Amino acid sequence: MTPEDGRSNGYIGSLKRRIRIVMLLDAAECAGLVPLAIGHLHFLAYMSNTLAPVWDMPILEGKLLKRQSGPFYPALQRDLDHLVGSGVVSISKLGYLLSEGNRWRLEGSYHLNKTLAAPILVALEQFESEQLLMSFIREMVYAISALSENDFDNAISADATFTDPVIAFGNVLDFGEWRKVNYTANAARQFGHLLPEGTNATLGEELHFYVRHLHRRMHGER
Amino acid sequence: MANDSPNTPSLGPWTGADLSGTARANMGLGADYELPLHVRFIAGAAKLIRKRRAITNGKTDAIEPAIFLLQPTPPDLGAPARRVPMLDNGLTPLTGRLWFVNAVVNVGKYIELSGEEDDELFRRIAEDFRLGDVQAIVFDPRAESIEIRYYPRGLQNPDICELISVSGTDISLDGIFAAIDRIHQNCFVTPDAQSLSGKLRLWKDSSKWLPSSDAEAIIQMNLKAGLTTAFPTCTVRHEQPQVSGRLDLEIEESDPLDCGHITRHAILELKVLRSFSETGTPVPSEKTLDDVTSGVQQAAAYRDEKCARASALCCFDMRREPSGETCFKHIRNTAKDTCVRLRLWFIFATSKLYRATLVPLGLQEH
Repeated sequence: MTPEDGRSNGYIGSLKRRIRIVMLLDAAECAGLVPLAIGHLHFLAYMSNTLAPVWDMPILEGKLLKRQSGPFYPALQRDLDHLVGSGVVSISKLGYLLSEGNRWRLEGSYHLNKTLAAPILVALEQFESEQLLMSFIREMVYAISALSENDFDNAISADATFTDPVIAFGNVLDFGEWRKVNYTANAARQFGHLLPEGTNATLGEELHFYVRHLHRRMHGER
Repeated sequence: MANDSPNTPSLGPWTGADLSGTARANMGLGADYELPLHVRFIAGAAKLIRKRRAITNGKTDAIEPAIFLLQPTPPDLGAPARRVPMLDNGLTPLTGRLWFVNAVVNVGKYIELSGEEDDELFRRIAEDFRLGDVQAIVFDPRAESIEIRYYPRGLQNPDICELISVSGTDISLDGIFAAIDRIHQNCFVTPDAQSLSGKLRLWKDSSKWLPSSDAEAIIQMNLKAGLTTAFPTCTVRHEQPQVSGRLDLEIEESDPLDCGHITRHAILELKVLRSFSETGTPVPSEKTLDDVTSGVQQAAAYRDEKCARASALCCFDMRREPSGETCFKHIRNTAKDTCVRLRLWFIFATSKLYRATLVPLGLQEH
C-alpha cells in the first residue's frame, strides 16, 4: 500500500483508516487505555505511521499538518465518526473543545463496541498481513501504555519526527511521502544494535525502548 | 554517550541522544512480543516481583499477598483503582494489593486489599467482583520459597494452579532439560499432543514420516514459550546473530537492579533429525551424523562467544526408527571435551507407536 492509497478519500482509503481505528482501539483495550481520549487516539495513529517502517509495515498517512496541539487527521476523524454512527465504536465523556483556529471540536473518549467489533477483528485475523499489522499495533500500544496520563498528553512534544526544528508549526511534516525522513523510525531501529554484549534487540524491544526514551526526554534527559 | 556513527541514519533532534543508556536500562522489555499472552503475563509478573524484592530486599512491603489479574481495565469496584505507570520499574509496593494489569505488566491499576484470608479474598474476587474466570497470579511473601501461583482458569478454579519459581537462581542444564521434557510431552511427542493447527504442524504427513519443512522453527518457538514459562525471570532469545553463525536459543537473565548486566545461563542448539525431507526424499544417515557434529561445534562456539555458562545440543528425532542416542556415538568424546551436553527427544509419527514404546516400560497411559 502506498501513502497515496491511505490518503485517498475513496472507499479503499476510508476502509483502511477504519481498519486502523478498530485495530488501535482493540490494542488500547488490551493495554488498558480505554476509553481513549480523542487526542490520544490521533497520537497513536501518528505513532503507528512513524513507527511502521521499523516492523516493515505500511504507512497509512506519510505526512500531516504540524499543529501545536499535536497530530490530528481530519479524514481519520471522519471515519471515526462514521464508526460511532454505525455502532462499532462507542463514545463517552462527550464535550466540546475550542481548538486551533478558534473552532469548536467534538471531544470524547472512545472504545470498541465488542459485539460489533469482534467479527471485524476475527475477519482481519484471517489475513496474514493484517495479523502482522495487529501484532505491531498491539505492541506499540503496549509500549505507550506505560506512560502516565500526563506523559501520554505530552509525548508528542518529545517525538523525534514531530520536534524536527526544520518544520515549523503550520507546515506539513512529511516522513513517508516525498521527503522520507523519519527520525522516529531511525531512532527505534538504532536501538536494535545498542544492547550490551552483542545482543540484537527484538522488534518488540525497539518499540518499548523508543517510548522509554520519549519518557526520558520529556523529563529533561537527552 | 552519543550513539551516532557516520553510517547511522539521521536522528534529527535526537542526534547525540543516550539511546544505549535507555536500551541498557530496559533490556528485555518487549523481547517476548511473539509469545502467547499468558506466557508474557507470567514472565512480566515474575520479573516485576523479582525486581521489587531486589530493590527493597523484601523488607519494607506489606507481608500480604499480591494478586495480579490479567484484566487491564478493572470493572466498577465501588472505589477508583489507582493507576501506576511504568509498573515494571519496581518502585511501587506490590503486596497487599489487587492489581489489574495487561500482559506486558508495564502498567497497572490497583486497589488495596484489607487483610482477608485467602479463601475470603478468592471468593470476593470471584463473586463480588465477578472476575473469577480471569487469569490470575498470586505472590505470597509469607511463603518460604519465592514463587508465584498461576491460575490459568482464574481464582474460581483454585485447584488448577501452577507453582513457578521466581527466585531466578541456579538455572542449570538439568533444570532446562526437565523443562524441555515437559514441553516435549505436552506439545511434541505425538501428533495428538500437538494442538498446533495448519501451518504450525510438525508433520506434513505423519503416516509417511514426512516432517514439515518448518519443524525446526515450530519446535524453536514452542521451546521459547515453554522455557519462558519455566524460567520467567529470564529472557529467552532466538536466532541471535554471532560471528560464528546464528544461535538457536539462549537463556539470559538480567540483574534485577541493572538490566544491562546479563547472566547467560545457556545456549541451546536445536537439530531436527529426519528420515525424509518434506517432499519425501530420503535423508542419508551420514547427513544426520554431520548435522549432529556441526550442532556440537556450533553449541561450543556460540557459548564461548557469548560467555554463556553452559551449552547443549538438543536433537528432536523425527526419524522412522527410533535408534536412541546412537546418533551421538561418533561425537560423544568431542562433546565431553568441549563441555557440550547432548540430549535427544523422540517425536512419534503416531500415537500408536508411542503407546507401543510405553508397554515394555510399564508406563502405558490409562
